[in-house]
Amino acid sequence: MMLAAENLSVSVRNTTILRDVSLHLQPGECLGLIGPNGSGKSTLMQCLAGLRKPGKGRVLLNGHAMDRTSSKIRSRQLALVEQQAETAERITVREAVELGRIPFLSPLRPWRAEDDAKVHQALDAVDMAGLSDRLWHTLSGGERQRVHIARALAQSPEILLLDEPTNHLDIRHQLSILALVRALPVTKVIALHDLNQALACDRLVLLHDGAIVASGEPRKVLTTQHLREVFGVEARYLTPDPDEPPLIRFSCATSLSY
Amino acid sequence: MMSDVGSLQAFRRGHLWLWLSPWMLLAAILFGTAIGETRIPLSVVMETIANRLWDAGYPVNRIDEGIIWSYRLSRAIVAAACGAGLALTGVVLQALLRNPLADPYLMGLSAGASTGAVVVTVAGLGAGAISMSLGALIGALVAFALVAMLAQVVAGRADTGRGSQAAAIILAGIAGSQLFNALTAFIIARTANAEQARGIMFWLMGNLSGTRWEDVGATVLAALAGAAVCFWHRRSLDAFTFGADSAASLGIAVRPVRGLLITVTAVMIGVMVSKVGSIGFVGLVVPHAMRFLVGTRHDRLVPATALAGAIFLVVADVLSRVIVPGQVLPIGVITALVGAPAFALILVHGRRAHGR
Ligand SMILES: Nc1ncnc2c1ncn2[C@@H]1O[C@H](COP(=O)(O)OP(=O)(O)OP(=O)(O)O)[C@@H](O)[C@H]1O
Ligand SMILES: [Mg+2]
Repeated sequence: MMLAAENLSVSVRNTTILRDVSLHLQPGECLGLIGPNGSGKSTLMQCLAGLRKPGKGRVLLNGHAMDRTSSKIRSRQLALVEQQAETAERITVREAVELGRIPFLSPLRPWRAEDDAKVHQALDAVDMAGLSDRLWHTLSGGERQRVHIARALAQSPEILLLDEPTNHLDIRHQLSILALVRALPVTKVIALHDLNQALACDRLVLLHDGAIVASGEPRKVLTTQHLREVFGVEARYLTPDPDEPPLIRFSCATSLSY
Repeated sequence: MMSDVGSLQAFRRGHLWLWLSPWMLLAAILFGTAIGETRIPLSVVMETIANRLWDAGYPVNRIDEGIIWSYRLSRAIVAAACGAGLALTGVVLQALLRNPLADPYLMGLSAGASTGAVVVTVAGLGAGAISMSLGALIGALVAFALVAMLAQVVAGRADTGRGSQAAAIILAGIAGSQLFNALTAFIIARTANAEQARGIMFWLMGNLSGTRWEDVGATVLAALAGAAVCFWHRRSLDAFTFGADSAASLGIAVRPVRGLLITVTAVMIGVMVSKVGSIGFVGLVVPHAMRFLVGTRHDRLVPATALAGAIFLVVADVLSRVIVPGQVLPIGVITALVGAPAFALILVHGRRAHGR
């Protein structure tokens, strides 16, 4: 069960959004995707999810070219939590999560008890079971985000792609969702903005202007030099407690220039 | 728990509707056949039908039998088929465009279909080779492409939320309807004589009075085939809830499925418009009413909407014949009298839902 990108390039009109990006997912790992706004994280996610065809290069799912994999097969192995997705329909939380079972249904294969079980499990996992009859438009931003994650979990994917899943979440839910995601026995790719949270990933890929600047062990990627060059901030590692992972403390070094 | 009970009730209500509505449709067709300028007792209607279908041999007045069989029954069946088809087009368009205001009439698809039909009949373009229905189908497709494109541009310019996106479709639809109506009027003025022109204008407003058994086959077939395709793709329609990207990641082959569903919609519009003209608001009112009754899931919404649309148009047709004594209103007047307030309601409601 593997996902790999080989020499991806994407351009829109005359601007290049991704240049020559390659990455290979290791089974079961949690890969963090970091980079400033507009660095191409969401675009790379869409390519990996098979929603966007790269101009050059290819994405391989289990060794098969993504654009030749049927969308049904793809959707049973790979789930995506988009950065934002809204609806005007009057659907309930449970109905939104039930959409995640669509890959396993067909015109002739009805809804079964096992589908209900998966939906309940997913709702429980994101702590939304109590709100399962609430209508979508009455939910807060964080609650909507958790429903999106539950929908992806209901897909019971082997690879989970999450584009800024902790957006809108309060700190408790940020931590619990990340802990939940990390504990899932699947391969995951997470785009993140909180670099302290990114430190907890197994591996990081740092994007800048559509290209991979560094990848590997978090501490080797999030060096003070990279942080200065890519994000334009000064960073210091703090180790208040030697038994716990370090913290990065940031200060604005270079003023934003447009 | 309260809400659990509530949703259970809604579920039961939905089921009740799905069980009841076929019988209601049957009853509506029978009443539609009985009621008119001359009222004919239901028993005579039944006897006539029995005579025709099974050679039952009941003694029935020849004139009554003629009215029932040759005019009213075929008319009621065509009304039912058109109602079902038009209501389904609303469901499909609303799901694919993710827009509660999407409707073939408001989007100008019916106007496009009319233009297509008029081009074929009056201007005699490709006479014989392509039928009126095919002309209307092509007209509807052209209108869809034009309006969808225009709406995208309008929504892209106005860089705001979903509320304005919904409105963009309506704005583009107005432009499209005006354009196609003007084209239709122009073609009629250029090529038809006064007599023909009056006939065409009457038909364009939505009219069932000319329907005969010849029209039953095409309309019923279009409605049944449309309903079957929509039901087959009920999960795909669900999958579009959070947009095309989300549908794709749920395993829907977005382009082919969308293409198929839009084509089926255009076929239904083309056939219905070429037989009965453009009847407005069915695709808007019926699906929204059904969402309240059976919920938003398409496995129940599609059959519920098809049946309710059929009942709605049969009843509207009866009303159009009896509401003003001695006069037959175009059926589009009745549907608009119901539809326009409903449209306003959806507008206001949508505003509230997004204006948080
Ligand atoms: N369809 C498009 N047309 C033009 N530019 C685009 C398009 N899609 C993406 N871009 C540009 O490509 C760049 C990368 O976009 P992307 O959404 O991948 O960034 P990101 O890393 O996810 O940013 P963020 O942290 O803000 O989510 C941005 O500069 C964006 O403006
Ligand atoms: Mg992004």
